[in-house]
Amino acid sequence: MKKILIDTLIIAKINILSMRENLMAFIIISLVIPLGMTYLISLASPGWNLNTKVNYLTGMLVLSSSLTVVNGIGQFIAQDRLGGVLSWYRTSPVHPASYILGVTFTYLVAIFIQCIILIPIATILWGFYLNIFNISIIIVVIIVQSLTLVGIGAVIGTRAKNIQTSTALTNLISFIIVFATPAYYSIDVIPEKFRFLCYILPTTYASLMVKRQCLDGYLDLYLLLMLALMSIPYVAVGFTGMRWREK
Amino acid sequence: MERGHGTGEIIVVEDLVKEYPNGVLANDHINMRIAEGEIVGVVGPNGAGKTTLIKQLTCELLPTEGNIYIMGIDIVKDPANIKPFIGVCPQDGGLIHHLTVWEHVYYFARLKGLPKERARENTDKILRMLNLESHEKKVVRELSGGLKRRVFVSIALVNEPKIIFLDEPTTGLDPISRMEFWKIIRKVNDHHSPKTTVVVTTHYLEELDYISDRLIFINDGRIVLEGDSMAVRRLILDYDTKITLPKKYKEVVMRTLMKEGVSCKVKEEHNKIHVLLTKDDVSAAVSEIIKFTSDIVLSSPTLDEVFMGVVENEENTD
Repeated sequence: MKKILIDTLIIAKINILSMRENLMAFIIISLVIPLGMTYLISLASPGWNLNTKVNYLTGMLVLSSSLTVVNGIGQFIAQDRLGGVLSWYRTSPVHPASYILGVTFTYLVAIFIQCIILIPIATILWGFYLNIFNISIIIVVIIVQSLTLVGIGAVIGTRAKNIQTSTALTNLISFIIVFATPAYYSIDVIPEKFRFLCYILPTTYASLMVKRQCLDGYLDLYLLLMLALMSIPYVAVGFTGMRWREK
Repeated sequence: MERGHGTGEIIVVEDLVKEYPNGVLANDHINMRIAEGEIVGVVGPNGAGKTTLIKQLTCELLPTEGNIYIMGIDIVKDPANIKPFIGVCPQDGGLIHHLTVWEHVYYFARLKGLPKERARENTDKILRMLNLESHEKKVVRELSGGLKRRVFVSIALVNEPKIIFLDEPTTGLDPISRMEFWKIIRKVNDHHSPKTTVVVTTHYLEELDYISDRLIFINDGRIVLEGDSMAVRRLILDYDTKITLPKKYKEVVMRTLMKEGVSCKVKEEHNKIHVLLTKDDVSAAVSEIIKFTSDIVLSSPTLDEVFMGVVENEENTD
């Protein structure tokens, strides 16, 4: 267990160091774009009601973090595997969980930075109030739902035959997440025959929790339990479905 | 009892079969045993199944059938326990473009389980050994292909492994770098007690003559020949000496040698000919040829010729 944790940190450090020269791109993706969107929305938002504002904040947080995880991790791992970097990890005494979590760590840092900057600024610009407790709960929920989706990225990254396939698959999953997550709208808006998708997506429970925190600050334990339960099959499918040794 | 354990055999492969999902049979019932400290060259044409074999030995690829025991450990079932003891230089390995040379070697030393201080010491030592010291602060995308291969080897060697697997390690290196590389591998092999075992594939067969204790020829996924480099020459070729001279003497030399009863074959190559014969006939042949020209070279057949012979034999058998 200790080796898994140490290796996770080493791999996270490798990924962070390898981003040194891409720092500007990292800042643009994790900060400039979301803040720009927040500002543009604030220009249009004075006429909106509180629910609409909360929907926008929820969508920006939940969907951008989940897409970052699924697309980012899926394509990062596929590139490592098809570019030969994964060979070094596979032939070293590294547990697959260390590799996946090490890669994920980098993305979680980006998501965390995005949350702590975006939430206060959005609430100020859009004119509603959240206390430190609400913000903390929202960040925890976003991190948990992001972790839940790591497995999907891992399965795609370790199995896709080429980069194009991994891109197509991660885009497809992203589309399903964006379509079926009641972030920008409520569940009732989603056509009934697709509604089952809402209930099997962790992003649904994360969205509902974020909305509750923004609207009345209520910590819904049922939603928290559902998010936790939902993480079990997702993580299980991820770790059993990913392929560490090629066939 | 664990296979190979206590017998001096560090690698035991039994009836190894690898069939890819697309139906390609890359390894067909491979059996081999490698002794501790041995340097074994795995040779074969492109697509013969060498890399597939190495990938299974290094736990990257799951065999379809058969067993692999390394240091007595069944690596098909229990790959994790062998990884701290092996070093791998993969053929198609890639590097992390924005990491420096030193960072690459150091962090992989850490991932191979070395504590911080030892990882630092070994990194410095291996970079010195491979003449990479002056490049240690460079990010790897700035390096030439040859230097990148040296980084590969540094990562493979940094944990002082008991067994090293090198898959085409000198591809892209110039001849001087290739010789330097093999000297280092020899040094690493000799340096430890017991000696480090090395399993290597390469297209440069003459290098295997210099480095390997034993050769394993693979064709169409099967082992078709194995032995030390002299033994495989004897087994495959019906000559052990080659006299090379200018082509213009072909007719006169052939006539003379035939008259003198020297048994030989003649092979043409551009502007020269090779007279292929056994040791028993060498002195008689040389004393006759020297009457026409002193421009002659005596040599042993190369492993390339053995390799061609093996492939031709296989094609004829088919």
